[in-house]
Amino acid sequence: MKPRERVINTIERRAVDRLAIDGWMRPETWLSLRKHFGVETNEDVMKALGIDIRTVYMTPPKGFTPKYVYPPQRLSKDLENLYATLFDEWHIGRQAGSTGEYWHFTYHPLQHSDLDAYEFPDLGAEGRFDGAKELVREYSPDYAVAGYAIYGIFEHAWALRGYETFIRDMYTNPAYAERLLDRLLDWKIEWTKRLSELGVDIVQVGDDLGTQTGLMLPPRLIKRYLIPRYKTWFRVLKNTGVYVFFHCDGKIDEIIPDLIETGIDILNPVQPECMNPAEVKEKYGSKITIHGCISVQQTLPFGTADDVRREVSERIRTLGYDGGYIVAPAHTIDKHIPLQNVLALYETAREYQF
Amino acid sequence: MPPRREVLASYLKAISECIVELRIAEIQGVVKQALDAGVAVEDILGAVADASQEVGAKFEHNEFFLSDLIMAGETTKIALAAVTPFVKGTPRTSGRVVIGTIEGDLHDIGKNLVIRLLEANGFEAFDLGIDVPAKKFAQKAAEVRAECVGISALLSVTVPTIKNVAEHLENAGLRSKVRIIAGGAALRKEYVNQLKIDAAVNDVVEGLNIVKSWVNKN
Repeated sequence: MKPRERVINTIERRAVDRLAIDGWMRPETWLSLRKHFGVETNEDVMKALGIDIRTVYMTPPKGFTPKYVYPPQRLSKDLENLYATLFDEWHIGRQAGSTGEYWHFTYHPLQHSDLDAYEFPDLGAEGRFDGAKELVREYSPDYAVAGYAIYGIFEHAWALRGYETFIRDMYTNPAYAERLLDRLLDWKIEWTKRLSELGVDIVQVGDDLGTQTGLMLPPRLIKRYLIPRYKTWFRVLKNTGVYVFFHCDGKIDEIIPDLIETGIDILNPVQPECMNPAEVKEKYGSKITIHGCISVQQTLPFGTADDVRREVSERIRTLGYDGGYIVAPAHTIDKHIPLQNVLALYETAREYQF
Repeated sequence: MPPRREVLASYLKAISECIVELRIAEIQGVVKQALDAGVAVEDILGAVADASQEVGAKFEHNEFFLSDLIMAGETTKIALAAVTPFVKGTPRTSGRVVIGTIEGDLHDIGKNLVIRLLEANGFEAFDLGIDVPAKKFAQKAAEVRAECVGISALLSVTVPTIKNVAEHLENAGLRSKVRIIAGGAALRKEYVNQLKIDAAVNDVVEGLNIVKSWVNKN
């Protein structure tokens, strides 16, 4: 069975030789895996692991160079980029942490500019989708292709405005919050429509709305500001014939029914430390496919390879008995996760016998 | 002349309600009205503290969410700022807490929330920011004579670094005087011994109550 057919059959609950498999890695993990398999490319690693989905991205347009602002003190070449602030096309500033592995936002342009005068980047600019177009051609029809757009209207609104400032807008300045979200919604619809037009099978969208123990926002605010806009967005996408994949970290069980109502097909990552995946399957498994669920907070970094095998088998048994489960880690696999655990995850997922 | 008891109660109730109902735009005016009417600063501070307790309880019972806590913290900050000029002498503090997100981790929502709650409960919080080397926690604790160090961590891989904070405090001869609490998604209660810390929590209100219980015992 070809990977694309396997992914679609998993989503559609049709017969499969095994469940579909997916995964996201940090650059260091890709490198270790290339070395382990003795191969040259990430594509070869994905083949070796049995990953069935290929992801394509929009890039900045031709000629765009991100702007780096360096701190005033003189630093060695190695440290310069670590402590520089990088400004993207939106003029959102971000800085790397001391390990260089992660970034955090340090400059929010809408704290300094008027929303009406602030121009969003031009989606029609030359070259944005050239790479994605080429890759879709390369991967289809063998693989299921996903267009990556996990930067939703809530996350983008607070990146532009500042987290606490945007929270305050939602409580005390709703007209501003609505205006910003509407403009972002139009932009996101256009972005994801363009991905869909390239011929992808899945469009990956998302907004992190959960913390480890509960929602970031009261459900009434999620229902007021986000759910209706998601509905509009996903209706447009579904009319183009793609599956809508929704990413949302944390404990979000309270709003899963609302998310289902927006038309999502796939929910990621159903974090096992925050929610019981088997319960989510039991309640909502007939309406959505679950993607993820293999613990990156506990089992993968701190468990043994046997612990990983047990967890993967348990997930497949409880979530994938009728299809509707794509086996994947609950987040990106980073360099601290032992390689034997990564291999155990994929080996178990490939070889599990129903 | 101080206002009659029932009038006093109505001013204090208005302040508490304003905080619990997150009416941030009104709090300054409500506190000012109380001060103009002759309500004692101590009574206003008491009302603010009671409201903070109620906000914490609502979060514990899932009636409040993270964003509600942020708004309640902002509202409380405005109330405290409005009474500060009228506080006579050195303001009483519940205790001093040095707090930061551990090296390698850049998440700050949880840490900032804890700071708001600590401040709303009369603590002095010394915010070291994110990605903080273990040594800095000990240095700052020595500098401000803190009773407690709070460490935030969301990324599991940064957890082992937390034990270095205890080691730096030990080397500075401060470990017996400074309690350490770590909080965030990456923490589990059973890590306490391994990390040489005094408490590990996943919940901000639980963390606040632990810090309060330590300071009250001192």
